[in-house]
Amino acid sequence: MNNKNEINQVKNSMESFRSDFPVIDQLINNKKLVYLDSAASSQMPNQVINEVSRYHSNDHANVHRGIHSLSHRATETFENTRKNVSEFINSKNTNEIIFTSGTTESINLVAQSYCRPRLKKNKKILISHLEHHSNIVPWQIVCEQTGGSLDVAPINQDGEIITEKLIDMIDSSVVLIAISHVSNALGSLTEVKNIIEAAHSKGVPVLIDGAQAISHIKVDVLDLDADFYAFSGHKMHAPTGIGILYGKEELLEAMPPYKSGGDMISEVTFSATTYNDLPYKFEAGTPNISGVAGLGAAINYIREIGIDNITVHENSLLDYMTSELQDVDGIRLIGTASKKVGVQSFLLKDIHSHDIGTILDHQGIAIRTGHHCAMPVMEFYGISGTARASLSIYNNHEDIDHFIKGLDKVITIFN
Amino acid sequence: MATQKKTGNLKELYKKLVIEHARKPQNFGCMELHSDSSKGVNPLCGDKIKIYILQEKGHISKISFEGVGCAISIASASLLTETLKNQSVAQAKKYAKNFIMIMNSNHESSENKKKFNNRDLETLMAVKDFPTRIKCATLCWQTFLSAIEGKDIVVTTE
Ligand SMILES: Cc1ncc(COP(=O)(O)O)c(C=O)c1O
Repeated sequence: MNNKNEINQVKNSMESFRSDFPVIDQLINNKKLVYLDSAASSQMPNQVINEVSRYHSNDHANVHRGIHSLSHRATETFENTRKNVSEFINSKNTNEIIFTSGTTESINLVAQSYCRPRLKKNKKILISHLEHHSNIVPWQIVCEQTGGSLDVAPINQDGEIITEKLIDMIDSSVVLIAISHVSNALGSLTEVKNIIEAAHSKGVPVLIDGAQAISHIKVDVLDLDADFYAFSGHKMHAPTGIGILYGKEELLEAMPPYKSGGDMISEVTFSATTYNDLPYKFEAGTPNISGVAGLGAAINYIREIGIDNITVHENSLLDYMTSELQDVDGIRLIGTASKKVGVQSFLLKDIHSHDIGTILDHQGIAIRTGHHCAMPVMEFYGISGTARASLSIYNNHEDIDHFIKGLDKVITIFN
Repeated sequence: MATQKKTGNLKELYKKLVIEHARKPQNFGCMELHSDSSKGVNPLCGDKIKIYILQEKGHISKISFEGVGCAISIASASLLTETLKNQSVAQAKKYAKNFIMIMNSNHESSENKKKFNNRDLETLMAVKDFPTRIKCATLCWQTFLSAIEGKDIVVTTE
């Protein structure tokens, strides 16, 4: 995508970032850790770890509730991060950013608050064949609750959503389209912009599951014109238990609360309760404030490196990893989309992915094995699971060389 | 820099016998004529197994299994069928309970090893040094118990 010089420049500067991640610097089974499981959860740099610690050591109090200084500071950290997220994904308004516990909760929120009142018999949710279980099951449940149905757009052998087919399936019976920006099992990059445009021309809103996109490529919700966009902190170098739902203001305004309790009300009497304004209407209960602090630091960190530099670095590593993998005897690559983000799934001879995982772990190499919470994808390929290596900012060519060498050992043991 | 103590020995885990059983499992396949059967799944990894038993006069006269899984789970199931074939039902149950108990016990004593009284099965002891893989080895034994006790449930590891 870029010329060689540019890639080399990025490569050199990325090496210096690796040392920001203390977890990476350790021995597993007396071998240097090679962490290739960032798609499951990415590691945190010192900047994030220190910010979470700083928050706990200096500012901790409940948000929006106290008149005292600590509560004010905690609230400031909390609301500044909301602004930070809004700028990061380019949302029009800060109140369109809702803190959730992660992608899963974000999707459940939309299923119950947006779709449940609108779904009924002969109304549908449209998803694709490559979704993560958390972008399947919440829709199945709301369909069961309402009599609505779930439609599934097909994928091709390379593991790409067939955009034209999906677009053909859109009509006025579709209440919402919910698709991933990037597939977690295959790495395929979905043509979300085209899909959103086609959906809007038929008056249908679109939710994008951005869990696997957010730390790897530029996400601009205004440019995409996404109606909802969901992602998790722990897949973008922030702690676990914090995530975001972005929603267009006019849609969120019209939606009822999803959970109820403190903070989401403006007045409570026993006869009636008035709900608070956006975004608080959706944030009942004391939130994960330290997680929010960490998320803010993670966004600052990504901005400092530059998301475009991250994309260049990871793409060049993915190209290298894919071409090295192709030379391994008996390998079958699963997920060969023309546009991909930092993930490669594969099978090795008839060796079960768990055995590959154990033998690699023994050499300090961490990959994911199994169905990756995407059983329909596995069923599509007629397999029970894959081994998956996924990349992030801290990975380098040496990691990939170790990984490929590690596969030799797998082959030796099974011969 | 954090370090960690070395875990189990790969060569012990993937002994020749285990690989052979995984490659060419014994008593593999569906047995149409059976008195008991049960299914087991590991929802985390998607492994599936089904065990078929033919009981005659309080003995297990035939036993087979089918399914998909890693080398450890297939080898364990294959060894299970070899071990339990022709055993009395009471003895087989004892074997299964003992196997599961030993696999899940924290300290491995040489006493435990002896209790297997079966050299082939003892090759699976190395699995104990790989805590993430213990369920792979025990799923078929649990499924066997469910079948022989006539429980109409799918056994899951979770
Ligand atoms: C594409 C995709 N969607 C959703 C999720 C769920 O994210 P979380 O578990 O953080 O809620 C994941 C995480 O594995 C994912 O990869």
